[in-house]
Amino acid sequence: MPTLLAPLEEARENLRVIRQTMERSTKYSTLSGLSGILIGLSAIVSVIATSRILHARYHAHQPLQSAYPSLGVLWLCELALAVGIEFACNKRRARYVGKRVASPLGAHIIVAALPAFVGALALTAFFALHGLAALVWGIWMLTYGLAICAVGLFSVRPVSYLGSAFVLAGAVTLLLPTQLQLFMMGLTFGGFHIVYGALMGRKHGW
Amino acid sequence: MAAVVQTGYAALVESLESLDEVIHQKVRLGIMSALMARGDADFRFLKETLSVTDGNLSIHLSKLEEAGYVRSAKEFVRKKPHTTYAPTEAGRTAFHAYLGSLERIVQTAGQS
Repeated sequence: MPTLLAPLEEARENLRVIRQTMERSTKYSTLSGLSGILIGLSAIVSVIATSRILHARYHAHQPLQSAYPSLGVLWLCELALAVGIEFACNKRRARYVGKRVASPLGAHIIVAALPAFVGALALTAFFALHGLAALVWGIWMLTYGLAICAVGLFSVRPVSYLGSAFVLAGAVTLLLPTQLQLFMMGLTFGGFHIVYGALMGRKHGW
Repeated sequence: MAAVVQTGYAALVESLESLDEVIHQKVRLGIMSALMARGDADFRFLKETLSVTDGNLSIHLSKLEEAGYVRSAKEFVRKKPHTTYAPTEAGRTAFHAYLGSLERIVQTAGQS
C-alpha cells in the first residue's frame, strides 16, 4: 500500500496556503512606511517647538501654565497634521496595492482605536483642569500605544510592535522626572515612528 | 484492522480523485482564496498578495476564467485600464468542495 503521508502533507500544506492567503487578503495593509517617517519628523518639530515655548516662559519668569493654550493649539495642529499625513499616504498606498482606504475593515480599525483616543482626550482635560498638563506626556504615549495595539489586531505585525513600544515607553515616562518627559515625547512620537516607518517601508512598501 | 485500513485507503483515494484539478495548483488556489476572502480584487492586489509575476498571474487567471470560476470586469480609471476579478457562483461552490476534500484527506489520512 502506498504511503498516506504524501497526500496528507500536501493537503495540510494547501490548507495552510488557503489560511495564509485569506489572512493576508483581509489584513489592513495600506499603511505606508512614508507616513511613519513624515509623522515622526513632524512630531520632532512639535517637540522642539514645545521645548522652545516652555524655555521662553521659564526665562521670562512666567508660570508654565501660561504656555498651556499655545501648547494645546500646537499639539492639536500636530494631531491634525498626523491624521492628514496618514490619510494621504494610506490613500496613495491603497491606490498602488489595489485596495480601498474606506472599507469595512477601515471602519473596524477606527472603531477599535477610538476609545483610546477618547480616553486620551478625557485624561488631558482632567490633567489640564488640575494644573497638571505638564505631566500628560506619558499618558499620551500610553493611550496612543493602546490605540495602535488595537489597530495592530487588524494589521501587519510591525503595527503591534509599535503599539507595544508606546505602551511600554508611556509607562516608563510616567515614572521619569518631568524634565525627561519631553525628551521621551521626541524619542517615541519622533524616533519610534521613524524606525517603524523605515521598517514598514522596507518590508511592506512605502 | 486490515479492513479498516483498506476502507480508509479507499476513502482517501476517493477524496484525492475528487480534488478539482483547476483549483489544485498553488497560484490558482491562492487566487481563489484571496477572492473568496475579499469578494473581489484587482490584478495589482493579487500580484502583490501572491508574489507572482504579471505573466504567471495572467495565465492562471485565464484558466480560472475559462473554467467559469472567476469573472473579470474591465473599466478605465484615470484613463488607465483597470481589471477587477471576483469569484462566480460556480467558483465559490468549487472552492468549498475543494476545501471539503482537503479536510476529508486530512481526517482520513490522519486516522490511518
